[in-house]
Amino acid sequence: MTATTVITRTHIFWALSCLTLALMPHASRFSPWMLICFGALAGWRVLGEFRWLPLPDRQHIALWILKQVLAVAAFIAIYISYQGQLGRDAGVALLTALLGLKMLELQYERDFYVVMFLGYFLVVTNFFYSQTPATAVFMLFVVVMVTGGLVRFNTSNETISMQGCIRLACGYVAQAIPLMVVAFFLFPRIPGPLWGLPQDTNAAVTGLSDELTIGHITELGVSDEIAFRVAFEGIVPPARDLYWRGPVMWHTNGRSWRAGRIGDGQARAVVSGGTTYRYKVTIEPHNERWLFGLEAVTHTGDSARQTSDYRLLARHPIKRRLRYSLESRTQFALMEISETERQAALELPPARHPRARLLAADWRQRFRTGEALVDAALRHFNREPFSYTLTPRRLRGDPIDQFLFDTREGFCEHYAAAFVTLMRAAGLPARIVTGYQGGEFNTVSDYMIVRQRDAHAWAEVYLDGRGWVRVDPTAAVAPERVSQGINTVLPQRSLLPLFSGNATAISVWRQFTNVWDALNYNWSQWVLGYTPKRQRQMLDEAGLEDWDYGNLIIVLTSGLAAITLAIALLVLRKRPPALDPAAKAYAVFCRKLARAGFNRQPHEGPFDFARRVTGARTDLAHDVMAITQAYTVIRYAGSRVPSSQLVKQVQSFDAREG
Amino acid sequence: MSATAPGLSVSPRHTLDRRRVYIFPTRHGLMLGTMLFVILLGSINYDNALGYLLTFLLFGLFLIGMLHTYRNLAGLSYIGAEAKPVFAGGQAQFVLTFDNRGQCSRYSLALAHWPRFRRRWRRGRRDSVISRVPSIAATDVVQASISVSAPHRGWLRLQRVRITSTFPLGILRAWAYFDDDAAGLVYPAPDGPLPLPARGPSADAVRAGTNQGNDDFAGFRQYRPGDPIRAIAWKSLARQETLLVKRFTSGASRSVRLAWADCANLAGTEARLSQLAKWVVEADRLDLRYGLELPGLSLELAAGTSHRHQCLRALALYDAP
Repeated sequence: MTATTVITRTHIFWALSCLTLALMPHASRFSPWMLICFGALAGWRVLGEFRWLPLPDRQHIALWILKQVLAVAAFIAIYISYQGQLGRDAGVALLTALLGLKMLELQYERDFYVVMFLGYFLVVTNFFYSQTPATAVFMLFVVVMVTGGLVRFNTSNETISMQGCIRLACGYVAQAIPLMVVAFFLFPRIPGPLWGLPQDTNAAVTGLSDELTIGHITELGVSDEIAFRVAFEGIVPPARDLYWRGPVMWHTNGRSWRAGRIGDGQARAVVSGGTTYRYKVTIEPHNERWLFGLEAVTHTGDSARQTSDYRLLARHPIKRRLRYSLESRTQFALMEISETERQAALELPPARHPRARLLAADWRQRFRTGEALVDAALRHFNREPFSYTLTPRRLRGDPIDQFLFDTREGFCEHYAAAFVTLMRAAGLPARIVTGYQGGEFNTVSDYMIVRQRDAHAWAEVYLDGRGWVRVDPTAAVAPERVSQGINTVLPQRSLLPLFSGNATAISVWRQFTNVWDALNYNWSQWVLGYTPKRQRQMLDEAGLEDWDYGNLIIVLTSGLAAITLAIALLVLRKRPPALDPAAKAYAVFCRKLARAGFNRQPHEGPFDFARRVTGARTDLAHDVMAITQAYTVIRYAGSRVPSSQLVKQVQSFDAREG
Repeated sequence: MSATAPGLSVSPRHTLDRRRVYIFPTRHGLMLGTMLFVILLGSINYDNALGYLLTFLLFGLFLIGMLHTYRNLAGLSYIGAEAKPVFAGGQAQFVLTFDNRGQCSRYSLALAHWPRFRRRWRRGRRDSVISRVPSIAATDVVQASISVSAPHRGWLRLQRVRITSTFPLGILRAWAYFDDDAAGLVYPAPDGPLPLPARGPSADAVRAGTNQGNDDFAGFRQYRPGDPIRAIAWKSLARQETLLVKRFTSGASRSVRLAWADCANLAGTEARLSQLAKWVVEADRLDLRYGLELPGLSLELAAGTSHRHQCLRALALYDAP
C-alpha cells in the first residue's frame, strides 16, 4: 500500500525530545544510574545519527549483541534495585529502560509510531504519582508535542514547518477537549479495582495517627497540607463548634497514648438538639480507616460506621480521595458508659506521675463533684503561669509531671494529656480525643478547608447525669486557639512578611490563594473525585432516572456524535478565499456604492463600473476614478504600490448624496 | 482503425464528496487503539482520573483525526488524465489533473493505479507504483503523474486511480477512487529481425534535413511548418531574424515504403506490427520520408514527428479488438 515513510534526523530528534519530556517528572524518582543509562542510550542514538558512532544494527553484530545484553542487564538491574517488587516504580523504570533501547533501533516507520505512542503512555505512568491540575497541563503539553511529531511525520517533503505542525497539533488537541470532557463524565464508570492496586500506593502521607506521643502533633502543626474539605449545605457552624472528631485515646503508658480496641463497639444513640448541619466531606488519602466528622455526628451515610466512642470508620483504609455526607448537631450528650469503658477511662500506669497524683488527691478531697474537679483543673491551667507554644522545651523524665510543675509550656496535646491524667488520678473517667479544630473558609467557592496544622487534641470526662463532656484545656490557656483557629497562634507565615504590612498586597495574596485552592477543590470534586458513585449521583440529579449502562452508552455516543458533528461543521465548512488588503478595500468600496444604488455586475470590470457610476453621479467622479485607478494599479500593473493609500481613500469615500 | 479514441473524450469531473471518501484506521491506528484500551483498563483499576482524561483525550484526537483525514481528501476535484504514447512493454505516464480551487490545502497524498479486476488476485498490491503528492495549495490546479505498465499495443485505459492519505496523524487512512476511461496509446514494441526495405525513388531530391553522410549542402530556404527542428539553421537565426532551414541533396534515395507485404514471412500479426514499428522508428531516425501500407490503410510518404505518430498509431490500433 503506502510506501514506508523514511525516518529522517528531524523525526528522530523529535521522538527523543518527546520521550525526554515525558520522562522529566520521573527524573527525581529514578535512581541516578537509570538517568545516566537513559542519557547514554539517547546520546548513542544522536551520535549514531551523525555517524560518529556505529549503531547496533545487523551490520554491527557485536554491537547488536551488546544491545541484547544491555536489555537483559536492565531487567536484572531493575529487578535487583526494586527488590523484585513489581510496583509502579519498577514498572516505570522498566518502561524507561526499554524505551532507551528502543531508541537505538528507531529505523522503520513502525518504530517511530511505537516510540511516539509510548510517549503518550509514559504520561500515564506519571499519574500514579501526581494528579494535580499542573500534571494535567503537563499531560496536554506532552500530547501536543507528540501529536505535532506525528503530523510532521505524515507530512512528506517537509511541506509544513515544525512550528506549523505544532500549531496544527494544538488545534487538534483543542478540538478533542470537548469530546474528552463529555466522555469523562458520561463514560460508564465501573467501580474498581479490576485486579488490585500496586503495593506502594500512598507510601508517605501525613495525618493523625492512632498513637499520641507527646511532641508528635508539632510536625502536623506546621504542615499546610490539606486534611479534608467540607462543603456545608446551608448554615455553617461557628468556629468554636468546629471540633472534627478523630481517634480517641484510651490507654497510656505515661508518655504516649493509644486508641486500643476498647471503643470499637457499636455506637449508641446520641441525644442531641439544636441546628442540624448537613455537609459533605472530601478527605485526602491518609492510609487509615478513620473519617472525620463534626461533633457529634447524628447520621452517617453508608460509607462510614460510628463506633462506641463516636469515631467514624470507613470500611477500608483510605487510599484515595473519598467523599462522604454527614449530618451533625453541635448540642449533644453522649450518655452511655459501660463498666469496661469506665475502668479503661480511669486507668493510669502504676507508680508514674507522683506529683500529679498528689495534686489530684488534694483536689479530690476538696471538690465533691466532677464539675468542680474540671473547674479546678481549668482554673489551675488558667491561674498558674502556663503558656501556649508550638515549640516547647523537650520533656525528660516523667513528661506529665515535668509539664505540670516545671516547664509549664506546650500545646494542645500537652494540656489534653495532663488534664486527662489529673482527672483519672482524681477518679473521674476521662479520655483524649484527637482530631482537627477549626477550618478556613474559602469564600471563592463556599467550602471549608481543614489543614494538617489544624490538628488538635482535647479531653472528654464522664460526668454522672451529663455523660461524656468535652473539655478543651487548651482553651483555658489560649482561648483564641479555639475561637479563631490555629493561625492566631502560629508563627507568621513565611510569605506574608514579603509584603510587610502592605494590606492590599496581603489581601490580593489571600484572594489568589483562595482562587488557587478553589481551583484545586473543584478539581478534586469534579475530576479526581468523580467516582462511579458520584457519576450515579450526578446522573440522578440530572433527571436521568432508571438509567443503566446501556442507556448511558447511548447518551455518551449521542453526545460524542453531536460534538463531532459540530466540530465537523466548523472544520469542513468552505471558507471564502482570503482577500488581500487591496481587494478587501475594493470590496468595501463596492459595498458603499451598492448602498447608493450602484451594484457592480459580475461582467463589469472596475473601469466599466466606474464609468457607469460617474455617468450617473458626476459629483463622485473624482473619487471613484481615483480609487478605481489606484486599485487597478495595485491589482493589474504588478507594481509594488502599498495598498495603505487605497485603504485610506476608500475609508474617506462617501457615496451618499449631498 | 478503431473509430473511438477514448483519450480524446472529455472525462467527467469528479469531486470527492462524502460517499466517495472511505476511511479506516491504519495498522498504527489499531496499535494506538489497543494502547488506549490498556490505559482505560488501568484507569478503571486504579481509579485514576487523569488516566481517564488522557484516554478520552486521545480517543477524541482519534475522532478529530478522522475529520481532518477526511477533509484532506474531501472536496478535491479530479479533472482528468492524459498519457503520452509509449511502446508496449514500457510504462505509460498518466498525468492526472486535480483542481483544488476554493478548497483547503492538502498534504501528503498518494496516488496509485488501481485496476478494478486485478485487485482480487494481488492482495495488497505492494508492488504497485505509488506516486506521492507532497501538497496541494488551496487555489491551485496541480498535476501528478502515475506510471502504469503497458504490456500490449492499443489503448491502455486508466480505469481507476486510488488516492490515499494518512495525513495528519498516520492513525487513519482515507482513500477514494477516481474512475476514468482516459486512455493512453501504446505502440507496438519496435522489434523484428528484418532490415529496412530497399528505398524507392524519391519525389523531391532536395529536402530539408541534417547532413546524412554523403549528402550535399544545397542552401537555405524559408522555414515551413512541418520542417524538422533539427534542420533549422540556428546560426543564421542568430544573425537575421527569420527562420531558415538547411537543405541537402543526396544521390541516394531518401524515401521508403513500409508495407505489410514486406514482412509477410514473419509469423503472426503482432510480430509484423512490431517489425513495422521498428522500421518506422528507424526510418524516422534516419530522417527518411516514409509511407505505411497496411491492409485497408495507406499513409502517404512524409516525415516528421506528427507523421511518425500517425504511423505508429495506425500500427497500434491495427485490427484493434
